[in-house]
Amino acid sequence: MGEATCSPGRRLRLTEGRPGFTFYTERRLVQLTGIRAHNLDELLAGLRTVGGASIFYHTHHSFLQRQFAAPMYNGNDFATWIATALGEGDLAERVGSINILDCQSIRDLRETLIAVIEDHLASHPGRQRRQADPLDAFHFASSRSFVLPAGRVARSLEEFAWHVSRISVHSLFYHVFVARLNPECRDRDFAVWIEEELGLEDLAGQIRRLDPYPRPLEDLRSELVTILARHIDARGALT
Amino acid sequence: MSRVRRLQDYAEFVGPEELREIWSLVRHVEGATMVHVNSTRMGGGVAEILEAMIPLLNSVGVSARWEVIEPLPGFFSFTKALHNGLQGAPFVLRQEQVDTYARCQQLNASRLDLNADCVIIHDPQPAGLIRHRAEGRSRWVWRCHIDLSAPDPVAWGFLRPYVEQYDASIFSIPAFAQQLPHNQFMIEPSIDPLNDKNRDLDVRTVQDVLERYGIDPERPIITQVSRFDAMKDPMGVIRAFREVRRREDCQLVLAGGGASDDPEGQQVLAQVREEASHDPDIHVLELPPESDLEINALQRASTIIVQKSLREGFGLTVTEALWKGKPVVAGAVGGIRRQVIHGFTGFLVRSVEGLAYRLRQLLHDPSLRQALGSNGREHVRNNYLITRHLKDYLLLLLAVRYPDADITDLAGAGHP
Repeated sequence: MGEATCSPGRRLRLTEGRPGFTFYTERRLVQLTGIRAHNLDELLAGLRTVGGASIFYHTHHSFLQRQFAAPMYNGNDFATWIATALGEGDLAERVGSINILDCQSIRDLRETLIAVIEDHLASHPGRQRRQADPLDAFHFASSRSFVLPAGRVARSLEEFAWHVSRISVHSLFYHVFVARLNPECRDRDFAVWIEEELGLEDLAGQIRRLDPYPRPLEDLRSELVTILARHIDARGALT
Repeated sequence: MSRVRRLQDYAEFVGPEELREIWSLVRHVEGATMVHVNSTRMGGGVAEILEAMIPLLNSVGVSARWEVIEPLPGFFSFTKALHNGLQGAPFVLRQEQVDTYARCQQLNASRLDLNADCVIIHDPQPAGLIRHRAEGRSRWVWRCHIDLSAPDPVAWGFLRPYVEQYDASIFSIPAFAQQLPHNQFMIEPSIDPLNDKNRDLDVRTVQDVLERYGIDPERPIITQVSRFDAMKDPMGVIRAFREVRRREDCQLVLAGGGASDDPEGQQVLAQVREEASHDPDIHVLELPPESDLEINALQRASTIIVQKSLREGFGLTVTEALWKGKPVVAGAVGGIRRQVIHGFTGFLVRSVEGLAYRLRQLLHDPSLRQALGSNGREHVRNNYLITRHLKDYLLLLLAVRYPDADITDLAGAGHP
């Protein structure tokens, strides 16, 4: 876990009169749909009908799990299944390389996934549709999220960095992934608070440019803390 | 007898942050009542989990009870056949069995106290209690521990009308879910790292157990711990062992007990004993229900643990072995596929030949055994300890209270 080089006692910049940043955490209970896919047609049918929580689940749940090896395709379950159960390596690569940061919502992500698979099917009209072994069917799942206060509030950038270095991985997951893809909790996005409440546009821009997808969350935490610490040190040198 | 444990006793395994988050959930369900109903007090994974879970739920402020149904003559023979049918074996249903099942549910419904916020009914045996549900605020949840991925249509056709009346279902892995008219959740089983079956043991205790059963501590030990059940394929394990022993000096331990709701166990045990009767290196141990310490010692003394199931709900013996840092070779079925990550926490096999090959490979490679075992323990620490299971039950209480929302903001700061 990364460690901030600052402490709550060394406040370089207070956010007087402005709301602090409340950290939240969440716990998830996996929900099952009973919907299975054995081929690309059934996968497309599922992608069109399952709820948004299922699309989110299959593109994000692996970030909460310890990985013994680098995950295939950024932890995208659809891509992994297309590769391992159907043996369609070229399509798996296209699905797995969808940049979720380019999607503003789960609806965007769903439409992109469907478009990529439809385009692949249209481009290979003569190719025989592969069928997964029944034991390797794709099972659509989702998860129910329960959001709780993490018991941490930051009233300065220094406090913010200190808490970021210590929050649980579930809290980090919530602020990095859930807050960004849910317009209703946009104010819980780190970059939004830093820009709108602290007025630090450059720093917010740096945080927004961090790509959380191709790496474990702990690596992201380390880089985030490093950026915050560098900014705090630079401002300290100026004052 | 183990003392009643509290949540904080688990801090050494999962860390304080995890416990803090569980306590923060507890605040939202404190005072809730829960009753679990199953078919046996001793034997098998369900009873073992409930024995640990009920006191733990109570220790965090959820008032939890455990009720066990009483059978009528012929009831368990029928439910064992039903169990096998739900796991895919051919199943024939006779009217007198339907009548016995219904009468048994009625008898137990009038006998048991099923008044609670959340009533959790485990497996098919007591599933019919739902027909006797009283009016009120209780939420009824069917908790399925068996492999329901490809059930016999007659078996599922019998049970399904009961299951459909529940408010929710719980399955151990996604492949077991069905198309049902209510919410289905996945809650994976768990082990208690502090009970006699899983706690650390000193070397002397382990040696004493080996000595008691005549097992040589100096030669490699391959062990399968499970009920004597055809679905666990003990005969297949013996065939694989004999193939391995053509060139490797090793011993096989087949250890298990029975459960009061499993009348087929004695037949399978007799077959296994007959098969092993002329081989001093095959140790067939029929252990009584209170043998947790012995099973712990046998697992810890083993070089490799096998679980060659042909069907499996989850496979808690695999979890126990992984927790003890042992390499596991297991059938690629049911919940085993989630626990044994092929090449990282063990090996998945689909045949006697495959099992024999992996046993030979592991017997020759101590560093591979060590690496698999180390990964396996971490895998269990992160996913299959009872603290995670407790958290899932707390979330279940919330999920049945708020059945419709994908995201529930317990912070009271608006709906995110």
